Amino acid sequence: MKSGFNRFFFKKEPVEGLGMFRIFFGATSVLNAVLMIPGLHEFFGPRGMMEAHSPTNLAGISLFYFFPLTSLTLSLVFGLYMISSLTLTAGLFTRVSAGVAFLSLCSLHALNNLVLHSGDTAMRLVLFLLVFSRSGDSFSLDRWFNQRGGVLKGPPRMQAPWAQRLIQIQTSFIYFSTAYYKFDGESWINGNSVYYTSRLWDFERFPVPIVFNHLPLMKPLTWISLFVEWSLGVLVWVPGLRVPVVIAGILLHLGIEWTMNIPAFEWVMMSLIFCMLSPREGRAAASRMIRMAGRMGSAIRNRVKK
Amino acid sequence: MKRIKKPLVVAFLIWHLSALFVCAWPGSSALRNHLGVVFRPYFGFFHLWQNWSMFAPEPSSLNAFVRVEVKYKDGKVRWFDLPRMSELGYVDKYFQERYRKWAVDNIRSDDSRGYWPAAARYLARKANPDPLNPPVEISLWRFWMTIESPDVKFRPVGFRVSEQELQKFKFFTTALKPEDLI
Repeated sequence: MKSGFNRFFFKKEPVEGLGMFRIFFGATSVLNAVLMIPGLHEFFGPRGMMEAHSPTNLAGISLFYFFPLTSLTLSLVFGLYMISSLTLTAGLFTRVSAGVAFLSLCSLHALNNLVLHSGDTAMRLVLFLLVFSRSGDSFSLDRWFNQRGGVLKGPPRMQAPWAQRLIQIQTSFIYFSTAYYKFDGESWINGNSVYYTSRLWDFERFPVPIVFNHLPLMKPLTWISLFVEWSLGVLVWVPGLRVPVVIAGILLHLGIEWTMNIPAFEWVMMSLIFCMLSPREGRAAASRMIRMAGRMGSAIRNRVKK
Repeated sequence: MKRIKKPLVVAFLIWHLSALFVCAWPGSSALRNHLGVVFRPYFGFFHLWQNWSMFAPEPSSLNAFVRVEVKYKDGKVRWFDLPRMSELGYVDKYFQERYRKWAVDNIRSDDSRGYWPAAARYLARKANPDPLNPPVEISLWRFWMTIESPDVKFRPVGFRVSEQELQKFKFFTTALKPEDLI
């Protein structure tokens, strides 16, 4: 057991997949920040939805213990979150950026937990764990500057993946929990859940009338969704099944993103699913993506030249 | 340094994973409630609380919104709805979803009654364009319709009902003082 624990958390592994995950996740954090801009002062401001004496369930670490909440300090803390999300994505001062993004996001969330959704929770949890990770060791400005300065040479060094493992455990915990709760629901078992969710006016996005007007098609969709969620909690740990489960998970979230309006959440979860790949699978996926991006870049350049 | 670092990391791993399974595992047990005393301060301080019962155990079968009734000093009454996603364009939906979360998932519910006074004052400030004719009373109404089981009544995707078919209930009223509007 001890050797299994050591192998799982401490056997040195490639870091390229983690670097690619940091870029995806950081980009969703930037998107989250952009989506907050128009309503920022209403959601969190001193004369907004909540007042200083309103009850709140989130009373942990917050920058507003050190500064009084005013429009100016709110804008400053939000600015910190936006800038640190950008630098996290770029891999500049990566660990510090993750820490600042985490602290500033917690400070905002503590002001009004009534506007928060599950994507916000996932974002806080993962930013916390990213502080401990070596996500800045690849595909980052930190690495680029170190290479230019002669501090680093050659490909990124392999590292103990314990922080990435924590992110993976957290991600599979999310899917296992949600599937566990759903197994208690009658409509998930009888296959009617997709019928209900596709009739919620507030969540409507792009129409898919052919599928959503036929119960015999909606029932299998309900069961497939539940099975994929359960698989992302359990089967994702079986090496031979991991890649198909990850692909199914991404397809599930793309499908939800197309049909339902749940801003940012699907993108946060897709980036977390990418992190479920083992470090070696992550490195292979990252190389494939870079090759694809390169091919797309040359195709665009050729087209522009013509 | 390395000899100190690894035991510290192992201790953190055991601590964090124990906290995760004690505080966030679905369901409850006496043992976990007991152990929670140890881990809850850690979870609370770092905002690690989590609950993953999205669309579970049942997805919502409620189409609902919150409507605001404002009485002004001159006796006139104005009504307005909090942003309803179903009436917004694709881009606006993305930016305004948090208003839905606030109003429909939270303020509408009786579980949020502690938040109602602050919510009413915020809405009164939004509905105060003329300082000479300020709002003097505000009421919050919930409107809703329940989606029937498809075995009882199959509704086509994108269906709507008229307002007369919606159920409604005034769930909060308060008189407003001048200082509420500043």
